[in-house]
This record gives sequence, structure tokens and C-alpha cells, in this order.
Amino acid sequence: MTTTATNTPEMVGDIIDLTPKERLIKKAKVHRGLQFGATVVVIMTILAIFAPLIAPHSPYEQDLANRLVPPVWADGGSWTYIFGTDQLGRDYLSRLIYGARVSMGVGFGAAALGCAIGVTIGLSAGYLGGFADRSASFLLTCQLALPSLLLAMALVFFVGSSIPTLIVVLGCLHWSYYMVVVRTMTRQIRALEYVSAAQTIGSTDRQILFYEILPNLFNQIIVVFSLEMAVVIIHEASLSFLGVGVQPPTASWGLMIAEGKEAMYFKPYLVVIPGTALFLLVLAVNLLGDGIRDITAPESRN
Amino acid sequence: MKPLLEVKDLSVTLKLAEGDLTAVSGISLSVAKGETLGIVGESGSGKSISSLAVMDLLPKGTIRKATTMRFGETDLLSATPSQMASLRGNKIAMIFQEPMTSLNPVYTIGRQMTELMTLHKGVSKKVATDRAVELLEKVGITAARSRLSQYPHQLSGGLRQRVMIAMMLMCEPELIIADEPTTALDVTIQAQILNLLRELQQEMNMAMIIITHDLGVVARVSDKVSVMYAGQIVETGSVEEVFRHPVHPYTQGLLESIPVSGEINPGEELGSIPGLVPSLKTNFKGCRFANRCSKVIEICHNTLVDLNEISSGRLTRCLLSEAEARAKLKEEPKVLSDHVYGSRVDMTSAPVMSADNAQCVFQIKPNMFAPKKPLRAVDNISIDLRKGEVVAVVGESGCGKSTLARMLLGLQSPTSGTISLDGEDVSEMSNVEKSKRVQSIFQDPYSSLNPRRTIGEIIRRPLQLHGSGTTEEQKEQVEAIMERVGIPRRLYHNYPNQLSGGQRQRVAIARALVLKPEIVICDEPTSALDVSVQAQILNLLLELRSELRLTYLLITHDMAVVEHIATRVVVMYLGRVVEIADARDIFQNPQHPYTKALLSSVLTPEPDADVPDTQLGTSYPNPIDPPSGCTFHPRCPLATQVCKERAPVLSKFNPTTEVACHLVEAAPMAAE
Ligand SMILES: Nc1ncnc2c1ncn2[C@@H]1O[C@H](COP(=O)(O)OP(=O)(O)OP(=O)(O)O)[C@@H](O)[C@H]1O
Ligand code: SF4
Ligand code: SF4
Ligand SMILES: [Mg+2]
Repeated sequence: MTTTATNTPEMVGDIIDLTPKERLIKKAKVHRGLQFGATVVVIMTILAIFAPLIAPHSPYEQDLANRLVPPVWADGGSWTYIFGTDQLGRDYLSRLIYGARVSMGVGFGAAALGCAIGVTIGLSAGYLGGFADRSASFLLTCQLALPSLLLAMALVFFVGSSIPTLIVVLGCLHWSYYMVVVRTMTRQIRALEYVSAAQTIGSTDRQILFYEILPNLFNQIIVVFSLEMAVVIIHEASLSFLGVGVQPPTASWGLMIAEGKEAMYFKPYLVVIPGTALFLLVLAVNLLGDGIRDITAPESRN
Repeated sequence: MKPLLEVKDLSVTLKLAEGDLTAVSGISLSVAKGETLGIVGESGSGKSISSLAVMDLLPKGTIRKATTMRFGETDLLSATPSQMASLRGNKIAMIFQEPMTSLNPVYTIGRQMTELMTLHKGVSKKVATDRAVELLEKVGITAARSRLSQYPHQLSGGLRQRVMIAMMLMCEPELIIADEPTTALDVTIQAQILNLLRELQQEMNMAMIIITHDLGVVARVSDKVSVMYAGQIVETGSVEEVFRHPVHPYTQGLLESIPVSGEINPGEELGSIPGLVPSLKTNFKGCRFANRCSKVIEICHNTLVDLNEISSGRLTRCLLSEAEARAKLKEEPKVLSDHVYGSRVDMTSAPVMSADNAQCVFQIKPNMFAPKKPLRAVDNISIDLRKGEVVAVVGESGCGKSTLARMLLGLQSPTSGTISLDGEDVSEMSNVEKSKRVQSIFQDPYSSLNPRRTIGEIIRRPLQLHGSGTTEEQKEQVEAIMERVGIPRRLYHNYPNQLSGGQRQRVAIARALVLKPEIVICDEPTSALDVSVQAQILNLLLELRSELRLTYLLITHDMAVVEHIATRVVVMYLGRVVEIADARDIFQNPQHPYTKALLSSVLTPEPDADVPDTQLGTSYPNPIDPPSGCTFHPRCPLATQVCKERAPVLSKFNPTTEVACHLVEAAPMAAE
């Protein structure tokens, strides 16, 4: 019979039979960006979680005798204070390590919250259309019309600042990108034949949303997540910088930059060190996001 | 006579991120004034790249090599970019597949037509406008002068293609290259456009190259033909010779793959070429066709094959001698259905599925400011499907075929009327219940599979949803059905985009059949596939039908496919049924004028036949503004006054045939 498998000549060994998981690992092994991003994020997370064990000094303890000690690589630096001390003589390395807790906690927390809100609204608007879609568009317009930094400042100011408040406020202000991207994609995918096919094999709306549509939005969501996380961290930094974020003496990278700015011209390390940490984290998250997108994308034949 | 265009040993290498891809290797072409060359080949065989190479329109960084490339007195290999630019559109004109993308949507037709001429020929606006009107009239466009101020989107597909042709003629080109000029059009329009091209070519003594995958088109319009396979020409000769006495095994296989009207016994296996076109990145050591060739011999795998001349102007690329290659090795064609199942359908039995006065009206805004208007995509259709039937629904694009299928599948609820399964109303059934009985295969295998799910997951999904059996049992069932529809086991963990179109369509078939449904609704299951693969899929559908006792509703625009597998045919026009009859009756004794026109526009690959004249004057009407009375009257050669005023109703013409036409109604006995 000409149409059965036995008679169908195979293509010259072009496809390797790996399970999806094996393929993922294989691709991850050669993806440099992903590896770098993951390493940095993992190290920073460990530092943040085990801060009390890792930090050489207390981040709050002031030692006015040792104010503004330069870092170890500069003249007058010592191994006691590797990254030097700040204006109040607190160990800068320890503050940096404790600051990772706030910056990363707020970053991941708020980005994840925004993601949950934006994806939910976007999916329902795109899939249901009609009234749901119009309501979502209205919400979006309102959100875009509000100056978000100002609003965040006001909210945090009234509610009182704590890390959970920051996460909730920032999360509620950063869902619009997810929503726009998810809504557009959902509308496109909804019209494709595999959604019709899913209906004819008996899927319910919920099954279609979660099994057929959502996995296809994964790439876009990851990319937006990594971008938004960077934005949120910087947002937190600016709030702290303006004095409505985390309150001293708690350390956060944003706050450290804020406190260091007065001495920026003659003690640049005060700004450069937390700035570099922030830059590294944002870069790593972006690389990680791109990497996850690359390795999970189904590869094509050609 | 010295040919107008002469190309020798043209090779084109595309630079891709993953490496080089030689899309065309060593092809030679020539075409003289007044001559038409047809280039046929399946998708990816390098047809379009060859024509782009001649026009010097290849993407940047592409390597083009040839020993000779000459057009008239110009050497195309050494021509400067500005010389090429003045040749294009002036001496050489090109017509593309999709007229919408080749006309600029923001300029009026008049502007686009005249600009070309004022630019290349430096004539005045007035002269150019007059010529544009003259040409539009020539290509059969009525009220030509008023069309000049219209924009491309205001015209139908057929009209746009005519405008495109008229535009190409503005500068009186010597050579026309038409790349799939009619693929995007309906059969009835296709015949008109081909006729038009032919007439104009003879009248103006132009040379023409027609590139297509449709053997019927090539057979009817060209003088010479070159068959391409995997970047090479495998056979060249006069149309007469190649179609009557194909030598290369690929050409033979292709010709056997298409169902030819009038020569088919329904249910018989079509000749098909097993397997797939090899990737062009392969480092070929032998004949490129060796992995699919039915006559392959040992040395084919390791000998590079040259084009050999077997008689004057007749070349073929095969190691076998002409006689060996032509020797029939096929035994009698196999009969795929057991001829018991479905051969005698009990028309008095209760229908397994039926549509009762089903109607689907969409509310459309014709433009931004206009109020909503109703568009009757499906207008009061009643169809019964009985166990064992293969009912084909045919009609032009936009006539509501897919909407009907979506209603039957429960994907679109009818605005009035009911769809029932074994007498139960579908709208009261859950998706799961419906899906046990009715399944579907969609047109486009590239969008009907979720790109994020592996083949195994896709085929197992229906079983998962229905919670049948343990995971292990489900996997076994999936593997069994994969084997049955011919998907290699090793593809279980692959993603759809690693598969070819034909393989994907097999996956879609497996997914539809894994639940063991009774009814399968196929919406154009083969129209996105290559000819040779199309035959594989049709054969598979036929085999499965008698094996699994299926009932099919098949939607298609391809009459040859209908004749090959249908038992009953429903002809639709503008949302209404105009004729229902047994397949044999439709082909032997069509009643409705539209059915007749549809049948006569089918282009079978008969080299000495002409393109038929369908006499369907205007093109397909806009469904928002359907004509009064019989909606077919503006195109009907037999229309009378009464047709404009009163719509005919579908009524019995004989026990198995129903027709909606005043003339047929009036004299039912006359045709007997
Ligand atoms: N969701 C929709 N909204 C508005 N109009 C629609 C919708 N779906 C289909 N139509 C219109 O209904 C008519 C019939 O469409 P349908 O897709 O059924 O045609 P078809 O016969 O399948 O055509 P083709 O051969 O091109 O697939 C067309 O005019 C189409 O534009
Ligand atoms: S050379 Fe061999 S494999 Fe190629 S077409 Fe001829 S017989 Fe077939
Ligand atoms: S009713 Fe009149 S217009 Fe319609 S198909 Fe019959 S003859 Fe033609
Ligand atoms: Mg359709």
C-alpha cells in the first residue's frame, strides 16, 4: 500500500528523536546568554536569601570612626570593608547584599503580580471579545492616562511604605504591556484552525485558553516579564530615591544610590557599586528571558 | 529562429543563516516570440526563483551563475542595475500570484497604470490614459474609464488580475512571465484569465513563461513544458509529447496523481508518488528523485544524472533508457473501498446528520461610516447525510461552504434553523458528546495544529479530553493510529513545524479519527498540498472510509477530487444550494446552468484541448449586495426576465436530483 508508513521513504536523518525535555536540556547547554543570566540571577538570589549568613558585617551598624572608607581596590581601602563604607560608616558590601532582598523581592513580586493581572485581562479580552474587550480597553486607557510614578508615590505615601505595599502598588501599575501583547496575540490565535480543531475534539473554553492558547503566548510573556522586571526595579529605586520607597535604615539598591548621590563627585563608588549591581541584575534577567524563549521555541525543519 | 530569451546552466544559491541552499541548479530555458513555455513543479522546486533570477530580482547576497543569459540583444549577466530596471516592466513584464500584493493599495488604478508608461516611454499623461482605457477594455473590463479612479481593494480578485495584466501590457512587453497567475482565483475566473492571456499573447506576438503547479493549466496554454523537481529540470519537451508520453518517472507519477475527469472509477486508488521532496540542503550524490522513484535501480543512488536528449528538443534526466522508463510496472489500479460499504446508500434511512433550513447571517459594516448590513453567508440550506455517503459541497470561494461546515461542526450557531445528529439538536449537546460522533479535518495543515504541542500530544489530546483509558493505553492507541495514517513513530516527540504539509495533514487526520467518529467533515483537506501529496491523502481518506465505516462531508472547489470520491454532490452559489444530485448524474447530466459552467471550467491536463469558454460574463457578486431574483442571473447565459424578479426554489427534478432554476423547473421532462 503506497500510503502506509512502511513505504514512505524517510528524509535523510534530519530529525533526532528526543523528548521535549531532552531537547530543552540540549539547547540550554549551548546557550551562553541563558547560562550567564541564570548564573547571575541564581547567585543574587542566594545572596539575598542567605544575607545574614553571607554579609560580613551588619548592614545597619554605624561606625562613625570608619566613615567613607574607600573600597579595597582604591587607595586606603582594606579587606575589612571590601566595598568600603558609606557616610555613616556602614559596610557597603553588607548593605548591597541586604539590598538585594528588597530590589529582587520587589522586582520579581511586582512583575509577577503585574503579569497575573495583565495576562488575565488580556486573555479574557482577546478570547471573549465584545463587552469584555471594550471594558479591558477602557481600563487600559485609564491606566495609561495616569502618571504612574506620581500615583505610586501618592499611594505609598498614604498607605505607608513597606515591601508588600510596594509590591502591590507597583504590580497594579505594571500590567498594561502584558495585556496589550496578550490581547492581540489571543485574538490572532483564536481565529486559527487549531482552536476550532480543539473545539471539535471536545475542549471547553477553559481548556482552550490554558492548553492551546496560553502556551503560545509564553514567549511574549517571558520577554515582557524580563523587561517589566527591570522597569519595576528601577521604579522601586526611584521611589526609594525620592524617599517614599523603603525607609532608611533598610537597604535597597535604589536607596543606596539616593544616599550616595550627595557624595557622588568625590566618592563615585557610592553610586557606581549599587548602580552596577542593578545593571547586572537587569541585564541578567533580560538574558535569562531571551534564553528561555530561545530554548523553549519549537525548532523548525529548515 | 533565435529565441527571445535564452538561459543556459542557471544556478542560484541562497545564503541562509544555516548555510547555503542551492535552490536552482543548472537549468536551461529558452522561449521565442509567440511561444509559451510552461514550467511545472511542486512547491519548493525552484520555479519562482528561476524567474526571479532572470529578472534579477533575487534577494541580496544570492549567488547567480549561468553560462548564458540573454534577452533579445541584451546580455543579462553583464547588464547594469539601471539597464535591468528599464527592461523590467518595459520589455519584460511579470504577473504575480496574488494581485492584491502586487498592486499598490494607496494609488488609484489609473495612476498606477499611466505612471508606468509616462516613466518608461516618456509619453504625455493623456496618451497614457487613453491607452490604459483601451487596454482595460481589451482585458474585458466594462466601464473602463470609470475604473481608473478606483482603488485596488474596490475590485474583485478576478478584476484585479485583469487590471494587473492590462498594466503589464501598457509598455508592450516582449516577454511576459506569469508566476501562478490564476492560483488565487476561482476555476470559472481562471478559465477566463487564461483565455485572455492566450489571446493577447497571440495578438501581440509576445513570448510567455507560465509558472504553475497545475498541470491542467500548462497543458492547455503552453507550447513547451519543463518539469522541475528539487531545483532541476527533469523533463523538457513539447506539451503534446510530455503529456502524452511522459518519460521521466516523476512526470509519469505526477500525471497519474491527478484525478482526470471522465476517466475515474470512483473509489479507485490514484497513482501517487510516495514520500517527500528531499531538502535542497542535501548533498546529492545520485538522482534527486531516487528516494521516491518506483523504477529506481542500484546505480541511481550514486550516479549524478545529466539531462539527455532523447529526440529533438526532448530532454529527460534519468538513467533508464526511454523504453525502460516508460515500461509499465504498475499492475491494475487497486480498488480502495470494498465497494460494498457505501456503494448503495439507503436513501430512505434516517439521516445521521442533517441541516434543516439552516441559515447564518453575519452583520457586516461595509465601511466605517455605513450602517451594518446583513450578509447571508448560508441562506436556508437543508442537507441530509446518510450513513456511508460521501457528500461533496462545491462552489466558488465565498459561497458559504466553510460557514456551512462550521455550522455542522457546531463552531458557528445558525441564526435560524437547526442542525441535528441522529435527530437530536446539536445546539443542546456538549462539545464532548458531539466530538464523539463528528470530527473535522481542516484546510490548512499549517494552522490546524498547535505549534507548541508535539505530534504525540496533539493526537492524544482527544483521548485525554474524553478520559478514555490510562496514559499507557492512550499512547498505544496513538501509536496505532499514527502507524495507520503513515506517520513514522519517530515523529512522536516532534513539533508540527518540523513536518511537511502532507505529514501535518496526516496528523490532523489521525487526531480526527482517534476518537472513532461516525462522520468526518473535511474542509478542503487537500487544497494546501502539492499534487503528488494530495493523491496520497485522498487515497488515505478513501481507505479509512471503508475500513472505519465513515461518512464524509467533503468541501472542495476541485471538481476532479469530487468525481473521484463523492457519492452525492451539493452545488452552492452565494449561500444557497442550486443543485443536489448523485455524483454520476452531476458529471454526466448536470442541470443547473451554474453546475454546467463549473464543470466546463475544469482544466484537465489534456494537451490538445483549449481553455474552455465558460461564458460567465461578470465575476462573482458581492455577497452583501446579492442580485435580485435568482442570484445567478447576472452571469447566467440563459437568464430571462422572470429570473431577475423571482428566486427559483429548490425542487425535485427526478427522484435523486434537486435543482433551483426556473428553466429546469419549467420543463422537467424535456431533458429526459
Ligand atoms: N465571521 C464572519 N464574519 C463576517 N463575515 C463572514 C464571517 N465568516 C464568513 N463570512 C463571510 O461569509 C461568506 C461565506 O464565507 P465562507 O468562508 O463560508 O466561504 P467559502 O465558500 O468557504 O469560501 P472559500 O472557498 O474561499 O473558503 C463570505 O462572504 C465571508 O466573507
Ligand atoms: S535515474 Fe533512477 S531514480 Fe532517477 S528517475 Fe531515473 S530510474 Fe528513477
Ligand atoms: S433561474 Fe434563470 S438565471 Fe437562475 S440559473 Fe436558472 S436560468 Fe439562470
Ligand atoms: Mg473555505
